[in-house]
Amino acid sequence: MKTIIQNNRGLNFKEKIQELYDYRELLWTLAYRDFKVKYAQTFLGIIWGVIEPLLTAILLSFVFNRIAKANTFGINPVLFSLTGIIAWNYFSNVVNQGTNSLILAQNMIKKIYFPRILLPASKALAALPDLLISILFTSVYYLVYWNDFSADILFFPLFIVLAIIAGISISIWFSALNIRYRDFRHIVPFAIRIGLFVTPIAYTTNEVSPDLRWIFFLNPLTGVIEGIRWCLFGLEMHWKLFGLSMIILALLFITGFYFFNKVEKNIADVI
Amino acid sequence: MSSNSVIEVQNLSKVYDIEGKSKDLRYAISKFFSSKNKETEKLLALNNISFNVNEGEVFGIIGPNGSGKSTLLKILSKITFPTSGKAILNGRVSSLLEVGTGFHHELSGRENIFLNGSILGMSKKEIKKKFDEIVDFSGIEKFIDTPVKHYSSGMYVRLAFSVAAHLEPEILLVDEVLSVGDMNFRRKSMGKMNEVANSGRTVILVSHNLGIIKNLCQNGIYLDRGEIQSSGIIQKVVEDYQNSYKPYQNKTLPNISKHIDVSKIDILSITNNGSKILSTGDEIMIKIKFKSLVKLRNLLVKIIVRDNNKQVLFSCNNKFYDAIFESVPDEGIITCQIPKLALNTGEYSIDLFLEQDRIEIFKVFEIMRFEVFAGGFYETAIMPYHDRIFLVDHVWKIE
Ligand SMILES: Nc1ncnc2c1ncn2[C@@H]1O[C@H](COP(=O)(O)OP(=O)(O)OP(=O)(O)O)[C@@H](O)[C@H]1O
Ligand SMILES: [Mg+2]
Repeated sequence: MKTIIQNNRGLNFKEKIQELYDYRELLWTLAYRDFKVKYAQTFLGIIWGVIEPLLTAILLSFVFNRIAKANTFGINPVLFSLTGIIAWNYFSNVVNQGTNSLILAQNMIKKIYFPRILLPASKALAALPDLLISILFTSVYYLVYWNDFSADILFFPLFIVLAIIAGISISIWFSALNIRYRDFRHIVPFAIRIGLFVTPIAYTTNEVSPDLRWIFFLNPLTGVIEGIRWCLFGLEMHWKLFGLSMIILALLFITGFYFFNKVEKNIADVI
Repeated sequence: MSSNSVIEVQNLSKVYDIEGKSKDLRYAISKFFSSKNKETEKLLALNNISFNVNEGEVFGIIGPNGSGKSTLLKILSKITFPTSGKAILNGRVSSLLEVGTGFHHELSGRENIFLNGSILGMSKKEIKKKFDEIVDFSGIEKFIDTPVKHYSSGMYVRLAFSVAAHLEPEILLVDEVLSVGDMNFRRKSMGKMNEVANSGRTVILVSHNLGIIKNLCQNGIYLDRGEIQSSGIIQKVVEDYQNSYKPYQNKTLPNISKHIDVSKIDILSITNNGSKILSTGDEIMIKIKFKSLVKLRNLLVKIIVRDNNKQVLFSCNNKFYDAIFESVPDEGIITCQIPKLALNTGEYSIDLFLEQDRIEIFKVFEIMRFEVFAGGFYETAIMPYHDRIFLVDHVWKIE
C-alpha cells in the first residue's frame, strides 16, 4: 500500500467512495456508540421512540385541528399527525445531532484520520432504530383507524428513504457550516422550531392558496410528508410541486457533499 | 533516495493561518461585502523538511515545544495537509498521537476496546482475535464490563495504551505516548515498544524523553522552529540538541544590592558535559558569577527551588555544610553542585539570597527559571507519573 501526501491531492470521487467502503466498520461502530450512549442511562430506553412521537402528535393535533381547525379530511387527527411526525422527528433528530457531530468530536479529528463524513453519517444511522419503532407504532395506529388501503402504500418505504436523505443532506450542510461559523449552532434549534410549523405535519398544503403553495414545497420535507399522506390515505398530491421538492433535495445533497469536502480539508487545523 | 526507504519526505512545509476571527459570522459577512482581502497572520510551522526512513528503522524526532514535531506527524498521518512538498509512505500506516482516542465514558471497557480499535484502523476480526491479549496486557480483567467513567485515570490509560500496543501496522507513528500509567506499566509499555522496534516495523517516534529516544532509535532529526537543525545517527542528533537548546530564560539581573553585583547565573549538567539541558538524575552545577562592591566576609548563600505554582520544594544552603564563605574575592564564581537531580520533568524557578554576618545583602525571587527533562535517574530511564515531584533512590528485596 502506497500513500502519497501532497497539497491539493484530494481524493477523486471514485477514491472517496472506495475510502468510505473501507471505513464501513468504523461507521457502524460509531453509530452503535451513539445509539448505545443515547439509551445507556434512560430508564425507559427505546420506549421513548414511541412516547415522543405520540405526545407530539397529540399536542399538534390539538393545536392545529381542534383550535386552528385545520382539515384532516376525515382522518383521525392523531393518526394524521403521526404520519407526518415519523418523518419530521427523524429529520430533526438527525439534523440536531449531526450539526454538532464534528465539533463534539474535535479531539478525535485532531488526533486521527478518518473520513469526517462518518460523523454526521453515523448520527443518521444511529437514529434509524427510533424511526423504525415510530413506524411500527404508527402502523398499529393506522391499522386500527384506517381501512381504505390501496396499492400506493407500496411507495411508503420510498418516502421514508427520501426523509433519510433529507436528514443526511441538511446535517452535512449544517455540520460543515458549524465549523466555518461557530455561531451557526445557535441558528439551528431556531430553524428546527420554525420548521415544525412550516412543514405540513398536522395540516396539508391543500388548504393553502394555490398561488402560494409552491413556497411550502421549497422545503423538501413538504414533498416527503405529502407523499406519505398520498400513499397512506390517498390525499391529493401535487406532483409538479413534489418534483420541485425533489430537485431541491438533490441539489442540497450534492452541494452538501461538495461543501463538506471543502471544509473537511483543513478541518483539523481550524476546529 | 535509497531503494529500501519506506518513508520519503521531500521539502515538506506547513503554514498555519492564524485568523482568529474566521469563526465569527459577523466577520464573514463584513468580509463578504468588503472587496479587499484582509491580511491573515501566517505561521511557518514546518520549513522545507526532507528525510528518509528505511524499512525496519526506528526514527526519532526531537526538539523543543512548538518546533513542529506533532505537525509533522499529523501530516504523515493525513490529519492535515502540507502547504507544499510531498511525502510518500509505503505500507499500512497507523498513527498514535494520543491514547484512548474516541473513548466514551458511558461505555464499558469491552465496548471501548472495539470502538478505539476500529478508530485506530483495526478490523473487527482483528480486535476479536487480540481481545484477550489486550485485556490481559491492561491488567483490568475484573472491570472490563464496567463503564470507563468509573475507572481511575491510571486504569483508563492502561486500557487505552493496551489497545494501541496491539496495533500491527507496517508503519507506526507515535507522539509522546510512552509515558502513561504507573512505573510498572511504563516498564511494560517500554518492553512492548522494544518488541515493536525489533519486529521489523518502521516507526517514527516523537518524544521529549531523550533516554527513550537514545534507547530505541537508530537515526533521527532535531527540529527547531520548523527547521531541521541536525539529522543522522541519533547519538549525534541528541548531542546537538543538548548543546544548542537553552531550556531556561535568565532574567536581566537587577542591580539591587550595594554590597554585591550578581552578573550571571547558569545551571549546567555535568553529566551532559556542561550542556544547559538538564535531565532528571544528572549531576548539575549552579554557577553564580559575582562582583563584590565592598569588602565581603562570612557570606551565606541560599538557593530556594520552587515549582511552577511557586510552592517551595527545597533549599540549598552553605550553612547546612558549615561552609559559609569566610573570605570572598573581589570577583568570582560561586558554585553549588548537586550530584543527582531528583526533580521530575517540569519547570522550576530559583530564588537567590545572600547574607553577610546574618544580614541580608541580596534577595531576588525567581531570579531564574529552568526546565527539567526526562532522564535516567533510574537505570531503566522510567519516569514516575508527572504529579510526583521528587524521585528518590531505593532498593527492593524479597526474602
Ligand atoms: N491548528 C493550528 N493553528 C495554528 N497554529 C498551530 C496549529 N497547530 C500547531 N500550531 C503551531 O505550530 C507550531 C508547531 O506546533 P507543534 O504542535 O507541531 O509543536 P511540537 O513540536 O509538537 O510541540 P510540543 O513539543 O509542545 O508537542 C507551534 O508554534 C504551534 O503553536
Ligand atoms: Mg507535540
